[in-house]
Amino acid sequence: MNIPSPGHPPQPPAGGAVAGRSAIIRLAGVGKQFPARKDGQPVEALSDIDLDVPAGSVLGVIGRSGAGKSTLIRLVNGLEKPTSGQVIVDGVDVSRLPENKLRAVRRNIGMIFQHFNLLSSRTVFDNIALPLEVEGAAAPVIRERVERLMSLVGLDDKRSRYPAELSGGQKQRVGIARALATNPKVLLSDEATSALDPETTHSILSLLSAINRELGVTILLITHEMAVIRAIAQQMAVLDGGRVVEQGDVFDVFTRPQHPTTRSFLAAETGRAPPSFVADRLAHEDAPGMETVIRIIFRGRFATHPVLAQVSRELDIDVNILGGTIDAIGGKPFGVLIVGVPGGRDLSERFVSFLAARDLDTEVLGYVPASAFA
Amino acid sequence: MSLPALSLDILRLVGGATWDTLYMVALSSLAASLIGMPLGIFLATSQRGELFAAPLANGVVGAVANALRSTPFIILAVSIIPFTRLVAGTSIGTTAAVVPLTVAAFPFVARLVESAVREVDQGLIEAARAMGASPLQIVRKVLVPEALPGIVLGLTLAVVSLIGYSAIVGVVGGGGLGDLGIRYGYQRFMPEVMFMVVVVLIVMVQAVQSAGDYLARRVNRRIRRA
Repeated sequence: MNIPSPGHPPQPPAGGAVAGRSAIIRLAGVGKQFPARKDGQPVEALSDIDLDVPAGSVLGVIGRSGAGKSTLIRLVNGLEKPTSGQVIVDGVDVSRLPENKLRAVRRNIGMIFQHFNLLSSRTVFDNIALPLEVEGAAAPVIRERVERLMSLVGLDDKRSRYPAELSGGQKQRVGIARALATNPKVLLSDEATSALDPETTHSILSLLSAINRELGVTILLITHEMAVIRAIAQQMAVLDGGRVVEQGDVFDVFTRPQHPTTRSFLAAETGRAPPSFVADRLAHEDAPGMETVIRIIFRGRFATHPVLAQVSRELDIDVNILGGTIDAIGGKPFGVLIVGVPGGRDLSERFVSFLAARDLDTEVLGYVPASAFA
Repeated sequence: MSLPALSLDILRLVGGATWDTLYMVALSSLAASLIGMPLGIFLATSQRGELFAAPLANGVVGAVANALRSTPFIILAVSIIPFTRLVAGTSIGTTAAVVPLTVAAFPFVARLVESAVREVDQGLIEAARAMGASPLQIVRKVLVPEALPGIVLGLTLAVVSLIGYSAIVGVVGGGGLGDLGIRYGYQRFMPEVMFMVVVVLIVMVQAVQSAGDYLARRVNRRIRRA
């Protein structure tokens, strides 16, 4: 299945091709312990983390607060040192480098933050110039570079403004421009949109996506929102209790989540959970006169086939559509339908196997009285 | 006491003493800032896990600052007379008075600068580290500029305190407005002298505070301005 998505520039094919590229960030067997406070146990922030970020890709790490996301992203530029394992960025093991050598590596890694972390005492221009000043760049070089970055992020007219005079979205644009000032190969994004409203979030994510596509900057982002991952990432990892519990291609993880944590993150995504009028009446036990409520995930070869019509004809049943959504992830069609199947256990089992034969995933969510929606 | 003769002489006296006070306060403020600012920055950045982590040195400097600040100024001024003589060549006069004033004020400045620097958002330090800045660059380009409004207000407070302290150095032969007020206003019982001394001191403090507030506002970019 390869439907070119209209309106999108060609994206790097997700999955195989991306994974085949060499990793620009590689975490191998990484663990991080924080020393005990008073006479408590040491805190195991991360354990056994293996993660590859292919060069030129966008990888999103999702987790709840306290899952270890912040620690993980800070390992990459050496703001945190792992207790065990290796952190290799562009061929250099940053976990072994002393602080003064790390500084040179950090200039090759941009970082943006949830609360922007702009200097209130500096104008937009001077904030973006800071990494270049740190590097010791000459004034004409700084001016040329900063001006280009200001127009890249669309802030040419804010040159002499101070952060206090900017909106949240504008501040994050300054943050992005600053992170790109030294032409880094890698951009780390620490919850960069978590303090922004949905519309601004969307525009910042589009900007990051464009930077990844057009400048070839590899992006590693951490977030607690599936929508962020879905919007720009090709690869993802789910972090829970300091461990990577699931990782892979975003489409695969979204459409076939394996771990309960992943499922619970996805539950919030529209269309996956049954609508409230169904959920409220949902029973765990089957009984005569009940419809079986089944969630069907449409993906792969048959995603766009009229499967429901076929199964209705074949089994001679009236499938009741209760909810759902049809969408695309990374340009690949993907749908979720919640349906009610009448006629007891026998029919619903035949229904499920019919769909299974067409490579569609189903899950029985429960049972509702057939007359419930009459 | 005839009024016309009195006002001319008194004006001359008050004028001279005002100049002495300005001289002492200006010089000791400058010296206390030069010593206190770096110390304050050190205090704010040298605890465990900080930029220039040196917990032991931090503890020692902190303890010395506390000791100096808890000694009453009059005791401090008298007890360091040998040191004053060593630095200024004499222990009497306005120039000599600058020494105890400086010694009393620099720990105060250091603590004020420390608290201003500690107010700087940790996220900014992290951002600067992430862009590869060295600790010295972080101090120069992040901590000092970001803490500047607080530093200016702190220095203003220190100068105002120094104006108060300078009134005490008359006791150790320092001269200035305080000395004039005690000797003429109190000991010779000339309330009009005392009155003028107090008025000049109030005006001086007011002027310093207003200038400090204005400057702090000027350098504060955290406030939105139309």
